[in-house]
Amino acid sequence: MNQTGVAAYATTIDEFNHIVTLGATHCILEDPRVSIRTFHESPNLDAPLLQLIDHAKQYPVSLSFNLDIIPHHQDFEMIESILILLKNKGIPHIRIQDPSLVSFIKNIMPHATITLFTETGTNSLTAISLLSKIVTAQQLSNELPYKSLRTITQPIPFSYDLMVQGPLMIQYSPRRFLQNHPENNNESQRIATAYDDQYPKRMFIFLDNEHGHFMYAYFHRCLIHFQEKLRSLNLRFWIVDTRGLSKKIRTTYISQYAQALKAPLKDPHKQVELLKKISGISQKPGFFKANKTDQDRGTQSPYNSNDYTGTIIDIIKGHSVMFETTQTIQENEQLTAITPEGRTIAIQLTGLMCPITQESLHQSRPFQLVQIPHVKGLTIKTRLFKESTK
Amino acid sequence: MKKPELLAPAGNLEKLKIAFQFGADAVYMGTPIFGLRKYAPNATPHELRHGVSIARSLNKHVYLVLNGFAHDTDLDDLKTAAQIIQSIQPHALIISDIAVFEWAKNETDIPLHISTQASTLNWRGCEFWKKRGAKRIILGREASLEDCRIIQSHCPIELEIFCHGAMCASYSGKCVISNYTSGRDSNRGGCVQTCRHNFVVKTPELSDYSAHIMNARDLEGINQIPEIIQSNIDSVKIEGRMKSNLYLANATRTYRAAIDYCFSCLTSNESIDSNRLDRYREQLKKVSNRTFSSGGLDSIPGPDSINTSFNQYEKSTELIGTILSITPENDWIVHVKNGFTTNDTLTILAPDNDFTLTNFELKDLSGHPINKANSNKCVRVQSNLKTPALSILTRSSR
Repeated sequence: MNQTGVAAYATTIDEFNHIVTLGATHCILEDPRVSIRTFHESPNLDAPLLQLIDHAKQYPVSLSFNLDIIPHHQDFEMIESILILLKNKGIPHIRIQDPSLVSFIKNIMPHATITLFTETGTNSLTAISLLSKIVTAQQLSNELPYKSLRTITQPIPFSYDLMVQGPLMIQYSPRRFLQNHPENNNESQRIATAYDDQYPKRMFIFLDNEHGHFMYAYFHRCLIHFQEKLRSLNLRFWIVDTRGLSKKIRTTYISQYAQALKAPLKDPHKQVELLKKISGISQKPGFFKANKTDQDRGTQSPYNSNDYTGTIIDIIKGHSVMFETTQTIQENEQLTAITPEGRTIAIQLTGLMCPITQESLHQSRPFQLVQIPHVKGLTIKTRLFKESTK
Repeated sequence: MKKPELLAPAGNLEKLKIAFQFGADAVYMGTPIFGLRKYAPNATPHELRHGVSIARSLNKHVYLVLNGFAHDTDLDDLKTAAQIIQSIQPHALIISDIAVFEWAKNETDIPLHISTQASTLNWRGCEFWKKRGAKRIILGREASLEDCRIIQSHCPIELEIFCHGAMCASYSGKCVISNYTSGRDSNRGGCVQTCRHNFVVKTPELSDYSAHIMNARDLEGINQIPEIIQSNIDSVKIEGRMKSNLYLANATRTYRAAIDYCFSCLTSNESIDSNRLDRYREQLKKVSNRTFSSGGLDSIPGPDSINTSFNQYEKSTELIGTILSITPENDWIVHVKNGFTTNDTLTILAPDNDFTLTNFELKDLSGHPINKANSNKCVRVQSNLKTPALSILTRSSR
């Protein structure tokens, strides 16, 4: 059994002090040079990180460092110098997004604890099992529903973290989109709210910094009312992400989860309301409850319908329809037609003709243009199947 | 120095044939199982098998795209498909997810290419996949040609880069906007392209700003072809399995010519005529596009890589139809996409040249004369001109 803790992020000593006071048991230290979503300007100096580490090490909280950059070649020199700094300062727990960093980190810190969070992707038990062979721990995807999380966390004796509260990053781009603002003055960082013209009520948060552009969902992920389920996952850390949020919101978010970890909250739905009131932002579980984003998969799966024979591309009403066969068909054979609207029509091939030579055929070759007699109801884009599909 | 493979998109079997006809060395195709173009027609097993057989007869290649990020249910689907895929033997599988990669390694003997979705940008990332058995890395579209050379020098492995077509605004694979805004999985073929929409941006310090702030211009890499060849890139790829036959034929033919021309100049120490490259670029501009940039080929894409004022696609040519077949009497059986009449002046895009079509007759498939061909119909076009099947009929945009 893991002893679950509450983890939160800090880039400055003030942030660190605050999250520790609120009850965080683990601090994810950040440096804007390689921690891409800090909401802090990059000092391009070692000093702030050194001071933060020296300060943090005086407190009884565990520490890790967020190295979540997706590096280009030119970034490795900086990464190396920071890893050496961390090694010298005794911070052997590194969080990464790009698996290419694993071997690089191990070369410098052979005994490093590496936590991988690929942000998007890594959504199956198999992927997580495979990656567990190369890293020490993983932060699980925000797109995984509880059912999958439960499946994943049960069989693999491994350490998992999960983001339980905070803004959901939904896009990471290398392009700095806000730089096209006509009044842009090339600040190293800019934070904005934005809405899609087509959905004016959804207010997204944009972070634009030296690493690129980050778009956040129009609500905050909130799992405070799923405490029992969270407990059942036996996580290492519940991550409360308060980066970029006000001190007031940070106070409420972290303290609520710290309390919930000590003893179940009596009226969690009231807590959700409180979080919403304090933050002014909708609180939703995201995909924690269910993920049906791919539920229409398989509706056109050909692997269940090897009998697909072609799609109608021309109709002469009362006369003929034309399609290219994907396999041999014969005169008098039965076909099943499925119209674009999903209507099923049975067809008896009373005739078969080659539109190129205008000759009658007894049977077609595969991948040959053919005409068959028109049947009422058939439309362009109607798909045809051999009889056994029914 | 080697001539890179020209890799074109094949959203279906017809497009596979067009791509090969217009000069592609290889195509990539999806199936409804687990590609990222779920709403493209994609290929059935029969079609894929036939496509692979056509490719083999032409000494060309077909790569099967399986590049979504798998959930456990997807892996179950793949188990069912393994035998079929193995029996079809496409020339490679394009994969981004480590679970799918291991599945393919265990269940098939087909070479594995790492998809751009895996956002591989540096040689250590390439080494990560190479050690696991990858044959080729399709680099993230943010990797520059300089990055490619560094990768080659540290981790020799086949490299493929995008040279043309639509660009994800984000790092490919690092976007789940559609998941949260539309209930469709960006990384399993359901992307709704919210990034193309107009956004109103509010900041405390600046005026409100309304623009297509994430609308990436299309990638166009003609000017980079000489450097691509000199960098020993193995494959240059055209994006667009859901794009039209005209886009496919035009882009494939243009890049075929550009690669052949530049390779010939470079291997014979002749200078490359920039005017000729400009003509290729002009040819690409004719077909529907969001205006162009060189994407990440030179450096990380900057502000000018976004078309913030986008309100319509740029084009000077429209697709009229595709010649599906030619009768013994030299009638063209044309699948019409946009209607036309016998009074129209059309341009035929053939594999080696363009030519104008003015005097022609139209018939329906029964042979009855008609004056007008309607959209989404097939007609017979009768003229004295000769062109191969799968040539493309076009018309200047009105």
